[in-house]
Amino acid sequence: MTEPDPLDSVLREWQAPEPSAGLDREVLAAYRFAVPRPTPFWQRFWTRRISVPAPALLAAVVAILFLFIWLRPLAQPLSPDPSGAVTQLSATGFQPLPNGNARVIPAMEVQK
Amino acid sequence: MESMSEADLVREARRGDEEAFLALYLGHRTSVFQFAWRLTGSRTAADDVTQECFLTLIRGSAFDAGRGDLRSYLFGIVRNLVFRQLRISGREAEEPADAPAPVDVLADMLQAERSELVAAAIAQLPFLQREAIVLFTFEELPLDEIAKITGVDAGAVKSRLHRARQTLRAALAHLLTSNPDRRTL
Repeated sequence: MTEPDPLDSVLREWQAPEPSAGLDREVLAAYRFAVPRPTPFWQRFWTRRISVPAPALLAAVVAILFLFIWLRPLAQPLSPDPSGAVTQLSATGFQPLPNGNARVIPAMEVQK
Repeated sequence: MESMSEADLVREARRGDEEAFLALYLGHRTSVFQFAWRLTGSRTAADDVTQECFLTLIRGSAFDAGRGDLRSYLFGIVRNLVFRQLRISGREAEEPADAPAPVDVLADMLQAERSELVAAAIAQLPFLQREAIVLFTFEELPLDEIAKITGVDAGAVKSRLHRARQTLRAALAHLLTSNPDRRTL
């Protein structure tokens, strides 16, 4: 089983060629074509596409609009100044003084 | 990259790591190419088989390091590709592809080198015997490893080797010398 056999040394005279550089290039090109290089996360993130059913998109838009209207800040009604001073909030009926001689009248004096 | 196992390299290469793929390819391309060349006898066919072999490794089913080393796994792929390329069925492969034209030893000695005579003698072998002699003699694989690659038990491999060597011994009798340094079956 382990005795030397002249046949083996004869068979070893059959030399196989080395693979060519052209084969290396072809294999590498085929690999690049078959397995694209991975892109960085940020690049994948910015180019990511998602598909949303139109009804779901419409519902989301309506919900966002509703929340926007419902949660928007409303104008607060002004309460009377606790100090009693009257403040003219509206320009309705405003008449400019003929002589421009304006003076501030305290609220108590007005009530009298 | 050096610290990674071959299974890791395969996994990384499948993810697109070109360095991992090159490490695998450069480590095994010569043995894969030469095995394919010895089975097909054609450089063009061996190129095609080598390229397809590594693509199959990348695209194919997972390589399981527990079931043998990567070299044997690649040889198994090569074997299947050559089978497909030569369109040899398992039954046909047990028999000579053509009516075996006896090697005309004296005429060949005048025209060809010894290497070509050996190649011609091996080319006359049925495919399964040829792959057994190539894996055993040139790739120096043990019988059980050859059995895994070829999908038969070690006894069948041994039988194929025995028949192949009988044929080769007769065909190459004039070349046999008395200074062997190789293992025998």
